Amino acid sequence: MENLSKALSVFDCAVLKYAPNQTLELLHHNLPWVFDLFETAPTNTVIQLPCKSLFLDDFIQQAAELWQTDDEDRLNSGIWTEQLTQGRELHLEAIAVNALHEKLLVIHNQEKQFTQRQTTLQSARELVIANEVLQEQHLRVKSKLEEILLTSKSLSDKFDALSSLIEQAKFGAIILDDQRQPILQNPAVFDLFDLTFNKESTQALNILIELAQKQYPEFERVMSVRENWQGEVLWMQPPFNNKWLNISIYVIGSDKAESYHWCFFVSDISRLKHLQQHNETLALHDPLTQLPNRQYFWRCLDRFCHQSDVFYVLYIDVNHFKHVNEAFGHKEGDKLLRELASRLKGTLKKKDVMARVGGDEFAIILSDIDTPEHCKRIAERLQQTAHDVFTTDSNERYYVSLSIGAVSYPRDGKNPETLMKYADLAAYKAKSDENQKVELYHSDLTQRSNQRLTLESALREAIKNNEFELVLQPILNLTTNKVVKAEALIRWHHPERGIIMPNEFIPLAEQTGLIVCVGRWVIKEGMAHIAALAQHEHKIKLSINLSPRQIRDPGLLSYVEKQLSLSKIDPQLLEFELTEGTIVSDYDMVSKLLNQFREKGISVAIDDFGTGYSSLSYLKKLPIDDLKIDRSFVKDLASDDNDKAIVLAVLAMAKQLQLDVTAEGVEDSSQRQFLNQHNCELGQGYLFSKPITFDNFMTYLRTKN
Amino acid sequence: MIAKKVCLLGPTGVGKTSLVKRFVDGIFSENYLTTIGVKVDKKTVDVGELEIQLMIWDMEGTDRYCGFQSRYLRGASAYVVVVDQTRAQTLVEGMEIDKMVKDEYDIPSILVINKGDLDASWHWTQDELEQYKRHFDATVVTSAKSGDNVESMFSSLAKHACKLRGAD
Repeated sequence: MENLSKALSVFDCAVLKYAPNQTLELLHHNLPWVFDLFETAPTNTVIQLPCKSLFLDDFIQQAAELWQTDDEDRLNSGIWTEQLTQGRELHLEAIAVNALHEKLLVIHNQEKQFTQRQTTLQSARELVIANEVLQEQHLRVKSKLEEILLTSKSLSDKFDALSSLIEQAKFGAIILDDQRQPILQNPAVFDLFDLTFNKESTQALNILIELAQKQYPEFERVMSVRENWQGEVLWMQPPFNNKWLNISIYVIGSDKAESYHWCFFVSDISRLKHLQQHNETLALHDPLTQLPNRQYFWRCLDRFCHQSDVFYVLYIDVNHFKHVNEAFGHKEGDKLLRELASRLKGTLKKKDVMARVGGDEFAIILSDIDTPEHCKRIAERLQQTAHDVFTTDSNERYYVSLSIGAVSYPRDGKNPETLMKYADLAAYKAKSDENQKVELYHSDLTQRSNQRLTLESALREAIKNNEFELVLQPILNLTTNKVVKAEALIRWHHPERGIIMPNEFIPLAEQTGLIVCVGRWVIKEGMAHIAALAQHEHKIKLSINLSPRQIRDPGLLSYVEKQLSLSKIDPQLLEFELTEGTIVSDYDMVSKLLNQFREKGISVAIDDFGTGYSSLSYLKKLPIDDLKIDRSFVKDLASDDNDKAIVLAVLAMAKQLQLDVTAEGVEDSSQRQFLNQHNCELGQGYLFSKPITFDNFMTYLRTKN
Repeated sequence: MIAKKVCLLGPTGVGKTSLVKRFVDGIFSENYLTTIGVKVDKKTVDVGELEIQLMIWDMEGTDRYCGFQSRYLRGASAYVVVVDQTRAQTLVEGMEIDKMVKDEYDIPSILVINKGDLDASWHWTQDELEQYKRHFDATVVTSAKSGDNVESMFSSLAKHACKLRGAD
C-alpha cells in the first residue's frame, strides 16, 4: 500500500473508495489539494458527502448511478476548474471506476494539461474567431455590393452608393469591370502596400494579381472560369516589410449577364499569421483535420521536386460540399471533412503525404508508383472510400463524391507551381464531367480550357444574336393517351457548329452566370408558346427548368411577374422544374420563392427525382405539385426489380402526399404498361415523342387530342 | 434558500465567462482567456421574497476543438445560450447548440445576445430574428463590458429556473 501511495503521488492524483452509505474513503490522501475539496481533517480518511466542490458533487451523483450497478465501466468528468481562496485555482479531472467489485473515484490534478491545452487553444480560437470576423466583414460588404450592383440603374447612378460602401469597409477593396479594369477602389488597399492613393492607378491591383498568380498555380484557371476565390499571400518589400494578406475575390453578375464585376477584398492578416507561426502545430497543420496544411504540403512538394524519382500529385475536391454545410449545418460540414480526411489517409501508405490545401480540397503526393494506371487505381480507391455513407449526429445519412485530378512528376511538370496548376485543372475537368471522377492530366486539358473560353464568348454572341430555339417534349396522360403538358427544352443553333445540345453549353452558362440571361429568354419564349397554344384553344401546361443560379437571381420573381403580365397567360399553365440539389442548396430561400410562385398560381415540379437527396421532409413542407421520376429508374423498369421497387415507392409516397407523378424517359411499351398498371398518371419520352419544334408540336396535338 | 443549477452555453469567444465575472465579481477584462472545461460559480439573487442561490455552470465554448457535452446539463433548471452580436455565425451555432439541448432536456432557456456595446453584424431581417427568439423563453441583449442587462438577465434566469410567473 505504501508503494502504491508513492506511485500515486507521482501521478498527482487522489484515490477514494465509494461506500454505499454515501461516504468516500480516502485510500491515498497525502496531497494538500485534496482537502480543498472535502470537509475533512487530514487525519480522517472517511469523507461525508456532499463535498465542498459543486462540480464534484454533481459528478459523484452521476458516478453513484454507475457504482450501484455491476457493470464494469468508467465515467470521466472532463476538466473542471475549482476556485479556491485568494484567487488560487485547481484544475482537476475525476474518473469513476466500477471494476472487480471496487467502486473507486480517482481525481487527477490536471494543472499541466490544463495550461498546455489553454495555451494551444488560446491561439487556435483567436485565429478561428479572427477568421470568422474577417469572412463576415467580407461577406457583408459583398452582399451590400451585390444589392447595389444588381439593381437596374446605370453604373454612374450607383457610383455614390458604391463609393460610400467601400470607403467605410475596414479592409482594402477594389471593384473591377468585366475587362478587369478598376472602376472603384478604396484608400485602404493602397495603404496595405504603402502606396499613395490614386483612384485611377492599377498599382495595388497589379501587385495583388501577381502575388496570387505566383503563389497559387490554380489562380489563372479560377479567374478564367470566373469562380469566387480566397487565398493567403505573402507580400515582401525588402528589407523590412513583410505582410500576410488574405484576398477574397467575388464575381458579381448583373441582370445583363454579359456584364459582371469582380470584387477584390484584401485584409492584412500578419498578426494572425504571427500567432499561427508562434505555434508550430498551428503553422503547419490544419487544426480541423489534423492533416498538414497547404504550406507544409508546398514544402514537401518542393523537396520531392529536387529528387529524380517519379511521383504523382493528386488534387481532390469534395463535390457539393457546400450542400452538406447548408443542409446539415457547419458542424456536420466540419465533421465530414474530419472523417473524410481520416478515411482517405487510412488508404495511403505511410510515405505518402496528404494535406488539406483549401476549404474542401485535399492534395496527396504519391511516391513509389510509376505508371498512370497505378495512380488511377489509388485514386479510385480513394473515391470508393469516400463513397461509404456518412451519418450526421441526428442519424441522417448522406453520401459524397470526389473529383480527383492527377499529375505526374517529371512528365507533366518539374516544379510545384506547374504540378499544382495542372492537378487543379485536371480536378476541375473531373468535376465538370459527372461520370469522370478521376482525371489524369494531359496537354489536351490546357487546350480544352482555351476552347471553353471560345465557347463562352460564342455564347455571349448567341444571346445577342438570338441563336436559341425552344423545342417542346409532350407529356401524356397515360390513361387517356392525351397530351396534358410539355417540357420546354432549349437548343442552340451555332452559326458554324450547327445545333449544340444544352448539356454542352448549360453547365458553362451556369458557371459564368450567363444562365440568368439564357434562362430569362426561355421563360419569355415559353410564355409566348403558352399564349400561342391558348390562342388555338389548347390549354397545355408548359414546364420550364430553373437552374440553381437562376434561383439565386434576386430579379427572377419580378421578371416572371412582368412576363406574366405582358403575355397575359394563365399562370396555372406555367410550371417550373427544379432539381433536388437546387432545393437543398438554399432551402430557406427556395422555400420562400416557391411559395411566392404558388401564390401566383404557378406550379412546381421536382426534376430527376430519386437521384439526389430524396429528402421526404422538403416534399412535405414545400409547395410542390409534381415529381418527375428520373429516367435512370424508368430505363430498366421491365427487368430490374430494384428500379421497380423505387418507382413503386415513389408512386405510393406521391399518392400519400397528393402529388402528381411523371415518369421521364419512357421508351417502350413494357415500361408504359408497368406505369399504367401502377397508376402512374403522366409519362414523357421517346415512346410518345422526342422534343419537337412548336409547329410540329401543334401537329402532334391535333393527332393526339 | 433554494439552490438552482443553471448553465451558460454558446460558441467560443462570445463572452460567457465575462458575463459570469461581471455578475459574480462585478469586473470585466478586455483580455480574452479561453475557458477550458467547466467552472462553477455561485451567487445568491433575490427574486421577490425568494432567495435563490444560482449555481452557474460556465462551460467551454462549443467549437471544432470542443464538442457539445449535454451531460453537464443534468439537473439544470434553466440554461442560457450566449451569442455575440458582432459575429453572425455565432447565432447559427447558438441555435444548433439550443437544438441539441432541447433534444434531451425540457427546461427554460434564455437567448443572450452579448457585446451589445458594439455594432451588430446581423444580416438577418427582424422577422428572421424573431423566429430565432421564439425558441427561447426570453431574449436579452447584454454587455458584459458595460454591465448592461447582466443583473436583470441572471435575475430573469433565476425566475425561469424556479418557473415563476412574470419570469420574462
